[in-house]
Amino acid sequence: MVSFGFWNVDSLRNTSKDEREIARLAAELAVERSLDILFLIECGIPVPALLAAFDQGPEYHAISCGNRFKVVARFNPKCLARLSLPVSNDRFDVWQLQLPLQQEILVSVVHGLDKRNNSPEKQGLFLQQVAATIAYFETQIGHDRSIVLGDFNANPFESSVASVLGMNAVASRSIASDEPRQMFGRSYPYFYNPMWNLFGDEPRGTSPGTYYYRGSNPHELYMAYVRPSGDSSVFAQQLFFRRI
Amino acid sequence: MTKNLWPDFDIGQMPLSPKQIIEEAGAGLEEKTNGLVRFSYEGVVVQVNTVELTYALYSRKLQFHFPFLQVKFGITSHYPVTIVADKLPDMEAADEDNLIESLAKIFNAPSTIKTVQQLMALSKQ
Repeated sequence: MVSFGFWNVDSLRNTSKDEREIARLAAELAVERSLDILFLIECGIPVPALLAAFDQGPEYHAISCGNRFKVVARFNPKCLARLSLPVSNDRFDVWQLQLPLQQEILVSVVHGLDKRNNSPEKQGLFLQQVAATIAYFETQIGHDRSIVLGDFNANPFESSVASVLGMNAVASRSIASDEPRQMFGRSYPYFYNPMWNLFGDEPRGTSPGTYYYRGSNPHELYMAYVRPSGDSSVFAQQLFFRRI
Repeated sequence: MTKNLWPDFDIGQMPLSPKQIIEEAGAGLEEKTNGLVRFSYEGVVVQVNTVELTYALYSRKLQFHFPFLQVKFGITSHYPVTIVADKLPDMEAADEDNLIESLAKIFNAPSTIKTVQQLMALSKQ
């Protein structure tokens, strides 16, 4: 079973003034949680500086990714091959994870468009592109064992996440396991969004993500989606989302 | 036989709907890309008073629909039309001329050209 970690470190701007010890904290997170892969979003830390912080514990390697991300993994980087997007986008990356004795899966990381500068329709259009691209790779590769994680800048109940005008990610595993949604003569496979558990009474410490709290408005912006097929649901229990 | 009480109808007098305008404008992509990429209508979501149409750039060779454009307008009064295009600021068209002007801007934007070229290159492989 693979353990994933994810963290939006918000360090692409003002890097010279940023005094946070992100690299050290990321390394501690990876070791403490025995993460196999750690995805950092909005991470401007150079790879050598990041890897230097991983000097304790198991050896982590840098994984090829776009400029917005940094990815480290504690296995041979060849096992996590970055796929070339049909239409390039720096907010989105997809890898094919092929570990010995494990089923291959598709792993995607997303940094959704922010609400301050983008309309809900623009956010939805971007997430439609993400969903369409993942479906494209699934067809090419021949399976739909996909997991998508990231900072979507949208809540699970928003149209850009829940509808076909977005990720088509639903709260119910049984609905997600059912036949794809049919609309406009086309088929839209569901994602299962386990983050809905955080809106209920899932015992603390077992949920697959966290929520972002500022002032009085809690938001679940950091999420993970899985296709309902195969064993992919187990991966959802291994996700961690953190933010300073 | 009872005389036909219906009047003669002439739809030629009706203004084109935003959907017709967009689809006529988008149709030329297939010719410009030698059939590699098509401007494709993806579907409609009807809200209380508005409709939201989605269009994609579609490569038949890749079997890939890339969601590219969303437009929203009123059911009874078509204008203004809100246009949301990939990698471009949202636009609002006040009338038919304005809509055509906005579509020309979108189709000719460097980001759109790059996207179409990427899909063409992949479709040729």
